[in-house]
Amino acid sequence: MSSLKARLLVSLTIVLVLFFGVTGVTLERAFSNSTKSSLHDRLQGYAGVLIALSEQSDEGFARLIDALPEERFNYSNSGLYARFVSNDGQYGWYSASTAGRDIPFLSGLSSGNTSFERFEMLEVDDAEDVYAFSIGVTWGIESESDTSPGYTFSVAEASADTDESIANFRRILWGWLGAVSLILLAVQGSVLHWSLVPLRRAEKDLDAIKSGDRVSLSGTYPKELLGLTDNINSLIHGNSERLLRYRNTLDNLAHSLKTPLALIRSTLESNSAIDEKTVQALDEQIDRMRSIVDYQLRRAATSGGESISAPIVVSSIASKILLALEKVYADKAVVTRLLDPHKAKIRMDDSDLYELLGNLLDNAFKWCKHRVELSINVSVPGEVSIIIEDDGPGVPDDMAELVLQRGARADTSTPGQGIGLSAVAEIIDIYQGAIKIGRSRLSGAAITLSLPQR
Amino acid sequence: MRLLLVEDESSLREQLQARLKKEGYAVDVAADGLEGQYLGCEFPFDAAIIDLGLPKIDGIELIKGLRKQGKSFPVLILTARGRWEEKVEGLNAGADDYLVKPFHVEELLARVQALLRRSSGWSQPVLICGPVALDTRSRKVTVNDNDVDLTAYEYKTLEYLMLNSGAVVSKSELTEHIYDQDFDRDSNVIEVFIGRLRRKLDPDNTIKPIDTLRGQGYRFTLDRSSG
Repeated sequence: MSSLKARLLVSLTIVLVLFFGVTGVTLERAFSNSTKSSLHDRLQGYAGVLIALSEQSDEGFARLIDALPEERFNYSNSGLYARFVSNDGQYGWYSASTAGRDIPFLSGLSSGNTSFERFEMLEVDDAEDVYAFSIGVTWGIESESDTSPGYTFSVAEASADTDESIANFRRILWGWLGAVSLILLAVQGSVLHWSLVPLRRAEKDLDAIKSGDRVSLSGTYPKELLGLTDNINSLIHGNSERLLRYRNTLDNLAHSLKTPLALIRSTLESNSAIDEKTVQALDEQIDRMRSIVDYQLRRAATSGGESISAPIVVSSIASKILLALEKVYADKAVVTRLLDPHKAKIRMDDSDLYELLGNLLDNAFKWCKHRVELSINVSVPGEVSIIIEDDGPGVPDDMAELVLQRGARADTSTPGQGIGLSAVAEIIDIYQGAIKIGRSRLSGAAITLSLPQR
Repeated sequence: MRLLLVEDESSLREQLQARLKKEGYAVDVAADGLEGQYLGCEFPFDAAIIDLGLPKIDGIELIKGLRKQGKSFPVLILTARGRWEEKVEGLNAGADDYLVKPFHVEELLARVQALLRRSSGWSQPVLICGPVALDTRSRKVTVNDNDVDLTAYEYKTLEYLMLNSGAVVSKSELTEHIYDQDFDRDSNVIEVFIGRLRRKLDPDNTIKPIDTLRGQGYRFTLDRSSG
């Protein structure tokens, strides 16, 4: 079960059901017992009266000396019945209400013994179940000469009232318990919902970070979540900081490697004592070293979109690069055009996008006569297409593949030729994009990039 | 032409300075951003070469600072990192061109030359004013397609006047832009150079390329023929 909410709800429901089940059963039992015990007491009372109103005749059998105080004994089917019989079965008396009924009273109880039972009388039509109380009685002082068999006095009452009141109670009890459980479950559900709101907010915020709308989990979270959110924040922060630190270290490395190279080169060029051939050979090696440093640094510094970064508007960086290149190629008086009708955004590391567009646009400026055009479009949903065109000589078809050759080791490729483009191909590969070199309607090269927006 | 070179690596700085001087530039050097800023604000440079990885004030801040002070001379940045983000940042902070280390000194010279030319409104490497043509790359001067042999200082003087053709250039301005701060200045030297230039460019006294405006300075009078 992966949902916290489901876990809590299921366990709370089980606890609730158990609790209310046990409570309900206990209450039901208690009520039934107390109802039956009060019935028992009442029937015992009637039996007492019955005993008090009877006496043993001289002949040795019992008889009733006065009318019974409860009228219901005198009507048939009244639901209240009485009887007494001698234990030897010789004598017996039945209340008028028992007429036509066969109530299975107990008999033969010895003096002082009592019984309280419920009888089900299924075999008789329109018969009713009864609760019956019986007690054994002997008159006089029991002596050895006394041969009196003793009597069993019984009083019975139809079970309908009692059963119904118990059933009523049960219905009401379970009804209320059920209702209360439902209310409690509903309350629990909403408490749960409310308690989990911060978690859902954190989830939403994380989504927003992923889509680049926010940079960290901000706002107030309950203190139970603070540990988690703080850690996520420091992770995000640490991630981008680490990349930055990494880049700075690499930059410093580049600086400290290339300045000596520049020095070697300028020493070579300014020293006329060294012959031309040596200068050329050493110069080649300097170029090679520079290429290796460039290549490895670039590989190491390309973030590959691992960092959680906000989407950037492609044209904002493109326009900066155009502005910079217009300066560098001022002599050419290049006319540039930047089309970006959708203000297309892309999730890409700033530096990677700079490298990508910088290299491609630099090439376009280098080869163009007077015009460079850059159009950025969201042609397919989720995919940005960037087309860079110039009015230069274009790239011959058989060269197109070559200049983009991926994985071409920098130290084996000719310096100044395609190094920038192989960097481009690498970045595109990392971001799972595609590059195509074609011919522009401006007559020069048209480089088409397709990059997922992510 | 007076250049400011800001580079923290002392050997490279000294070599570049020596080479630039050999090419006829007046060169002032600074080893860090702070010194660069001081020099850049104090002296009238024609261009600056600034390394981006500088101590005290980094290159980009230095360029921003100079531009804020209203210094409009062209700036060439030297970068070891070669990352586009950095190049673009430097260029948009006010630099005009960049060069990635390790560079060929010839490349550096060509870029500086181009920047100087561009900043005076010349878009072509050969400055042509009437019959006088000055090739900033080969440092050759011709009049009516005949080579004119000039000394380094004569060339520097002519180049400065032609780059600023039409404008009045004072003697002190010429001195400042042709010599670096350590040079013992003597305004008479300028008069000597101008006199020799007139003789070499215009031996028959027919085209009269340089005017003397008394008390103000000199002016290259021939109209620009190339863009």
